[in-house]
Amino acid sequence: MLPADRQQPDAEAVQNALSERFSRQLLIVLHGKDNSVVRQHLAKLYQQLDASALIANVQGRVDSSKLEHLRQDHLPYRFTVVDPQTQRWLDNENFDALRKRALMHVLTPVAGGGASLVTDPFALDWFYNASRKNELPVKLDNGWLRLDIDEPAYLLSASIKGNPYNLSLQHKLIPWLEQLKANLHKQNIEMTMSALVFHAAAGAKQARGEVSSIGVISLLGIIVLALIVFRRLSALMLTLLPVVSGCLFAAAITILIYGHIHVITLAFGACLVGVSVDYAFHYLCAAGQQPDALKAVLPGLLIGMISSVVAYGAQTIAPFPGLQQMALFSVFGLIGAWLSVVLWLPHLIPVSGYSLTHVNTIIVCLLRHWPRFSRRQIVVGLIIISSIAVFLLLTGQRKDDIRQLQSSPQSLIAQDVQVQQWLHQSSATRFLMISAPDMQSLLKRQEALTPQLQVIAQHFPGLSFSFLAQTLPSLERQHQTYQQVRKLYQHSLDGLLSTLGLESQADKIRAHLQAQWLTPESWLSSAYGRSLPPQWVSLKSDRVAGIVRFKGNLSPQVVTRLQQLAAQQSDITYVDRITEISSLLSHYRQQISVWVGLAYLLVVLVLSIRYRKRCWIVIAPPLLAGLLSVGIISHVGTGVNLFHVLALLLVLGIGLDMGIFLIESSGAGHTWIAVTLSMLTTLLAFGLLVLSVTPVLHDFGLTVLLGLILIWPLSLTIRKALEPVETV
Amino acid sequence: MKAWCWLILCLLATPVWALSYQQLAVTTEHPDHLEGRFLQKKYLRALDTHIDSAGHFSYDQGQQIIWTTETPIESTMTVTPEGMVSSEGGEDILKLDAQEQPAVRIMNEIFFAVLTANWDRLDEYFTLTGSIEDKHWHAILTPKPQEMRKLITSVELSGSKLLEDVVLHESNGDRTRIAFKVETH
Repeated sequence: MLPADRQQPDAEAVQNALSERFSRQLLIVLHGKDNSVVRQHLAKLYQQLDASALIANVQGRVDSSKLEHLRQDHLPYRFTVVDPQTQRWLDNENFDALRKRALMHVLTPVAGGGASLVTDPFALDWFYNASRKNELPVKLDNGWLRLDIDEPAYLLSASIKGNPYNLSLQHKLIPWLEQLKANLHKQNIEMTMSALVFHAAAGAKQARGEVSSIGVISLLGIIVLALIVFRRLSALMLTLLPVVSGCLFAAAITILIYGHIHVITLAFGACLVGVSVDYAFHYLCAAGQQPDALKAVLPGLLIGMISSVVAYGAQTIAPFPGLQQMALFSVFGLIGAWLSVVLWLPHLIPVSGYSLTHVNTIIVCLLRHWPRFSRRQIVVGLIIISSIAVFLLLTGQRKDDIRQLQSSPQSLIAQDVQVQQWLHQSSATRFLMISAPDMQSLLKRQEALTPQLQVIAQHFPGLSFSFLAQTLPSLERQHQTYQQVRKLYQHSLDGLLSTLGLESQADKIRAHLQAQWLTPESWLSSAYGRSLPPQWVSLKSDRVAGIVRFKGNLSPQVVTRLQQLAAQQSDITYVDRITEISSLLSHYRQQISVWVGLAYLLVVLVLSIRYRKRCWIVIAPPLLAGLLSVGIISHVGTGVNLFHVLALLLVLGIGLDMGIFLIESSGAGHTWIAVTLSMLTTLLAFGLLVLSVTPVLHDFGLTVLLGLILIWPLSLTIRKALEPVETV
Repeated sequence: MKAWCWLILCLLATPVWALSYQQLAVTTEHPDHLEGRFLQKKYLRALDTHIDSAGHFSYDQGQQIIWTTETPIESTMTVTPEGMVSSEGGEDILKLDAQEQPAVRIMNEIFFAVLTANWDRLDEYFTLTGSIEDKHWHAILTPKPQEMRKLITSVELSGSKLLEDVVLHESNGDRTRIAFKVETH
């Protein structure tokens, strides 16, 4: 349902490349008290994962040949790719330091091992490997990746075979993993997991559960309500007929235009079309009382339908593709339902109509006992209420943070946080993006940027950067390094060898000084390159984008520094996906708020043509109720967001219907029954969404609930002050 | 009765015992501070030659080891549990951080454990074989973790109250022998 980012397609492409890997990743940490027991189960779990058809590419076991491979893969490049300290000494031509370091390395009893005086007398390869930092805070323990925490804990990582949103994959994978976890728990071993698939499955499960539970409650409520009022099964059928035919009509049109229909469109669209029970209620309530019922209610029905279509249609401007389809569906659903009421119901209704005496008595009693205020009191009251609403709105807060739409269970989030803490993972949603015409220019650009990044890193302890050029220097840089190493050999090799008494070996040693160039391709296929997350992405525009990642605490000051850095250079962008999408939501909320205001003005204009000065009787209740409920919401909970504003459209649509029907029938008792019924059914259909755990649905439900509860008494109070209530 | 006597006599007459970490812990001393001289002979298989060096060392139990080479070059290296540093003229020529380098940390721990006769620590990384004879012991340590076996085949230690001789056998065929001459304070 989220919008495509229109401002930064490159950032989006990079983010997609990052999340592609992330979305399939399954991280498992196995931990317990007894190291040997944990390791024994670790080996078993590794085998089980490796043998599973659901899992591809299990990692966590590093056998000695793999380790050797990892250690050996830099050896050919020891004269072209060197560690930062060596690079500094080469740049400063501090060959003396390099010679002394080599001597110390040979003589120290501690640091030795793995280096050969013949192939690499200055131990460039050894020092390069020694400077290579682990991407993960793990050490090898008998071939397993052991976490650097007190308790024995080991890391396994795997990738899931297939799309994590695939339901059948979820059904197979998750119970299996849960079973493994439960079995290990019995052995006092904890299995902490982090993967997108758990969140996807939890989301799907929650949505299924809610659609069925909330859906069933609201449907049952509506049926019971219709039976109480009309006391006939046929009336219930006649009420539902327009809804069903409206949905069919809407589905046909949607498929005609889009070629397909999304299941969410169908579910929510059907809810919206559910409002069309209004039309049936109005006709049915009127039919019992008046001989030519259709003629009497037709103007109200027409104006009501048009105003709802305008209100729903407004949602097509929301740049959420799913919402556009939903708006289209509900507009045509309403038209279809309206047509079936007008064309079919007069022929299907029993000749005698339905007796509403029992309900009427209640309504009349209610209307009679409702307090009556004078015109002046009403005006003063409305002014006070609207001032309160405006005050609440002005002092309330807005919240457009995309993270609040996250609805995963707390236990899942806690596991994720724990695993991320253990692994010191770098942020996947915040990074610097550098774009360049080709790989070599990208690497050169990153090299040029290194000093500036170092200054920032020194300024904020704990902050570090990682990017490609650190392990893959540009070819230009490699050539330069090779020339410097040749100079080092000319300058210092003889001195080094004479100290050690190995002068006779000089020729043999010099013969090994051969350059080999590290290309992006060979970097990618190296054991080290494969172990890292994606470092660059090819863009559509034939350019490449490199990623500079951060580790450590990204305080607001750091962010400001990074943004300044990006602002100074046109090829660098500071990307913060979460803030970006959140600001996009904020932008849409403002846009839609303005649009809701304009739509309301339009409706006011249309209505004022028909009702002239009495127009405000129709307008005031929904307008005030809407402002007041959004005002209240801005003070309770997390603040107003886009989804509250969208729900406001629904409140205004229903409120206008109510006002139009009442003014058209001059507040007839049967109209009061109909508008009360329609309010109650809408509350059942949407207000119940307030029970949803999914934040978007909850927000929508809360707005509808508050709005409708406020509209009814407001309408009643205003009408009672102005016109005598008819009794039928 | 006679057989019993013989048996006891035989046992007393054979003072060479299979070695255990417990025995080593009882036999050796653990001074808080120790200084002495060392003589190191490094054999490089690829060149089939020896590199000799000599100097002095001092250590404070669990805190630091200062390893000063006098010949063939003069240099001082400070080894702490956090890592090792060797500096000259204010500049760190050789600096290895145990925090960032797990391999460095293990080597550091072993170096500490060997020099300070911390047998519990060595038990974590090595299996022990060897012998003890009249308070003089000879221990052969074989690394337990696979990763270490890739680098080190074995470490031979010998001494009496204090460590006297270490031979480090590397898997590439190189070996380093260090003889200590300790002065206790």
